[in-house]
Amino acid sequence: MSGETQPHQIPVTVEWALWGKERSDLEYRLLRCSDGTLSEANFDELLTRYSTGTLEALPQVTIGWLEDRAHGHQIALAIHEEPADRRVDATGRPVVLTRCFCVPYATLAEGRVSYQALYDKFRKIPLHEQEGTFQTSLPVMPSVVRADLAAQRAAALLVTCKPVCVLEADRAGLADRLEFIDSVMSLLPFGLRCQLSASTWASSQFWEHKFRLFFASTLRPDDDCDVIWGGDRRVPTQPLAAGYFDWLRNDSSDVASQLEERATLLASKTDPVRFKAAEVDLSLDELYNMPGSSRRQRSPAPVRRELPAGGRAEWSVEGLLIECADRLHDGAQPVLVANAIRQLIECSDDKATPEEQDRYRRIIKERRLLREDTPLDTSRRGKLYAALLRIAFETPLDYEGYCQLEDCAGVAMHPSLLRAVSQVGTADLWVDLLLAGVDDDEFQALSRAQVPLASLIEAVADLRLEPRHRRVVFETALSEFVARDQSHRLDTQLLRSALAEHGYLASAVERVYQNPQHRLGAVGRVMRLAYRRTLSRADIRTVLSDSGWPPTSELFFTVVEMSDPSDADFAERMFTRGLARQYDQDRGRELILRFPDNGQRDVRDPGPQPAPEETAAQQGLKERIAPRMRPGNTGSHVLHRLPTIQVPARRHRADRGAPSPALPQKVNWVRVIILSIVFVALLCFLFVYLTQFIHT
Amino acid sequence: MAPTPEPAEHSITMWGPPATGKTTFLAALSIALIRHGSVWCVNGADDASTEKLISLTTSLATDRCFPPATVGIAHYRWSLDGKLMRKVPRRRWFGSRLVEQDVRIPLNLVDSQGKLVGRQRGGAQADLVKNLNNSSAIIFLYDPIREFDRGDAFDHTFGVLKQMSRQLEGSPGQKLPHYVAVCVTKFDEIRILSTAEKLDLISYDPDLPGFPRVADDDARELFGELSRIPHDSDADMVLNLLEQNFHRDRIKYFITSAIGFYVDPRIGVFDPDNYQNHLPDPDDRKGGQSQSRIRGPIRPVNVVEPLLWLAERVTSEPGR
Repeated sequence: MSGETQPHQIPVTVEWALWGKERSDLEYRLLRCSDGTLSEANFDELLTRYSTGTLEALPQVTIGWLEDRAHGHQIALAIHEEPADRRVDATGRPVVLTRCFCVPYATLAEGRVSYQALYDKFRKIPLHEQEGTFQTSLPVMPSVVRADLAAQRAAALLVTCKPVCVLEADRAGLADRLEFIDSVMSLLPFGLRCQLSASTWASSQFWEHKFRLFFASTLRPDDDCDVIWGGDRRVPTQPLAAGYFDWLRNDSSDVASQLEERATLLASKTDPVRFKAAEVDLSLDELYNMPGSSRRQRSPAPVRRELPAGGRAEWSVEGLLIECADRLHDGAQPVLVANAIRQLIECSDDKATPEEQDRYRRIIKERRLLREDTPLDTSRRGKLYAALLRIAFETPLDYEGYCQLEDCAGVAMHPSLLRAVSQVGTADLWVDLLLAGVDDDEFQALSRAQVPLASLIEAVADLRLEPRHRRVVFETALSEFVARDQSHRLDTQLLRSALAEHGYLASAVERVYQNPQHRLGAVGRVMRLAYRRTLSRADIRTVLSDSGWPPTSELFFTVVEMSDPSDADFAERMFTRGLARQYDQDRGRELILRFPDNGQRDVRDPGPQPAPEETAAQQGLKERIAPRMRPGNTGSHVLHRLPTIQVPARRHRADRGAPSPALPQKVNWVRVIILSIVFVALLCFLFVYLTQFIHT
Repeated sequence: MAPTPEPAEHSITMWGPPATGKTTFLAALSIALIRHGSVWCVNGADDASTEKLISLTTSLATDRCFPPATVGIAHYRWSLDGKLMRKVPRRRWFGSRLVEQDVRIPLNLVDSQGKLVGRQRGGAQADLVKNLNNSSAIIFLYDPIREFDRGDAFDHTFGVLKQMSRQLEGSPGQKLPHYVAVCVTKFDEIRILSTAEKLDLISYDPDLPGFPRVADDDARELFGELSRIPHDSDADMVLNLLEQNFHRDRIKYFITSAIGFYVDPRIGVFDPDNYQNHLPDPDDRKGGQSQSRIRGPIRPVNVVEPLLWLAERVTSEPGR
């Protein structure tokens, strides 16, 4: 390849790749590539990422980019065409061959090289026999642009960072489309070319393609902006785009010369600018504030994304969040990161609306600003988190905010973040309990605060608590009770009263633990803290029957264990009474009927049912409880409520010696009368229906 | 009367290793409905999808060419329009009666490049997994011929399934909620039909041209047997893998052929000695560069059935 440089030409080293299929291939792959700085993996990623979907007409051209520390900014121009040998793949399907050429952005910027120039240079360079990188020269871009209204609209829409789709260009050839892409980009700062992805055609069926400016037959269902080929006269309505559209034209009577002037200015802006809101904003700021860059003010002048033009300190919060995330992600210099954080802290005093906070949270989540491995020292990380909390959440943080924070942060709340929560303050006992559950200092603080027992118990029992938090809240509250007990600060009388209000937390424990053994242990710990003695009959009645809550089996077992063995039958009666009271009559009856006792079987029962294997824990429970039950009562009627123990065959009440004392057999005459009336009405209706049916 | 649109939008994603016939399967859909004289027909729901439906169908039916390999992911917004017997309430309280209603079942089909389900990870594969997870149903294509030659079906299935499970993050032991139509493709190939015959799983259509068929109840058995044939591959794990990850009662197996069997126009009936419809082009054997050839008209076998089964299932339960 000739490396001779002509006037207005700029030398460049080109790396390349050939993409397609051999005859034995089923799938597209990298066939060959140069041996320069870009690896096979780089090319593979580049060509997979900037795929157009299934191509229908050939040739087509795509423009992509690559950026990393090793290679800086690289621009790729890929030519998709039918292979000269018209080859087919292993299944006999025609193959599309892609020649991809990569050049450093810096070289393009130096010579303001256009895409058309790249295409003209590369389209006749075959790669089948090429070895290694090659040198060539590229022509400098002419300053004159022929930008029609569609190109102006497309350029203005691109500053919103949304993809722009050019429609109704079926008759336009490849050269026209490339020229259009060049025209559009000549109306934007040249630096934006470092991250432009564009295509002269993209499949309308391929919704996931990554092009920012592309031609297609229809819009994707996403949020693409559209431009109609051949002079789209629509003025962009998005404020940012409208502002830029105005700036381009500047209300000049001679739009052509005005555009040329602008294009010259824009071509000089070769510093790389990525298609990110914050960077585009900054770039536009610089343009608008340049001497001689007059701009007609719209009324109102909605040119900036949120705040009026100015320095970085006046960026929108969203822009700052993105900027901060990008700097952290790119490993920018500490000074730059610190600067971004400082500006965020400055913003954190401003009161945001709930909608704004919602948007900020979305950015924080998407850009993982609250992740644990943020490359910052502890102090700066704490400041960043605190600023983010103040910006995007209601502070002091309530429980709803805490849940939102968890959502933003990911699965686990890490210590730095928890410290930041503590720093901004909390407005909810739940949050205090959650923090105390994972941090000893927070637990000490909670203990020192002497939260009323009733509040702690209420917090544990509240059904609104998210399931994932129930265990931490319960165990933290329990630890607090134990801590108070050990320091002789626990008022057991108060604790009993508060527990009675919430069914001795038995139902709450059921929601916290799946394992019956854990439930039993938890209820036992609570009850032993509240009652340090053998339970009297009065206590048994209070706990099982009079609390206003349906007693659970774990509560019953605990009571039996804590009471005198001679009171076991009494406890059983109180338990059944408690159940019967708390459920409506039918429900209570059904529950109790599920628990036959005395081990007697129905005479119609075919024989003993094979019991499923019991867990050691359940067997242990039975063994512990059985000696305390009256002779013949193994406690099975209660144990059956445990998940995996089989319910023995149900026995008819009539087969028992005497009706259960807990369920006096009453006839509900009112119900009998109502049911009879309903039955008669149904009969009448059926008669009328049948009569009509026969007639018709 | 305008068709009644089904309330929920349901998407069905095509999934399978490269060159298993996903796009050809879609191209054969309209042809199959027309051939059967079905009350159902496929229509495009927007301009781009309609254009694609026309080009896919005509290239297969008229040009007798296989569609080009899909690059990336292709979304087709089609709909199945037809008639269903449905219960409608009688006046007042007089129960309900069955009436025939026009029905439109949206088919948001997602066809993907086979390469995306391979080992290579990346954004494109993530897009496919996202599409699979967002869809209500999946058509999984298994090509025994390809598997015999390449032996990579397990490779192409396992990774995607694990990523789907990872994204859905269900409770331990929870299976993926999709309905899955497992389509064993290329029934028209001699090796497949012969295997089915040896297993005594073949019956013949009573109607002309009397094509062979494998009953849906036997399809799983044939799939199992076919997957055991390539001894040096892991294909035999594919069936268990699918049933391990999806609910067994939500998987149905179909033995399909998008192009169907060749029928000699002079005879007009299925000839067991002359039925292969897909032949290598004669030029190919001479080392030339031409495509493979479809001999005769397209007569799809079991192409509509999986789609109708899936459509019926996903529309009969609340949208996911």
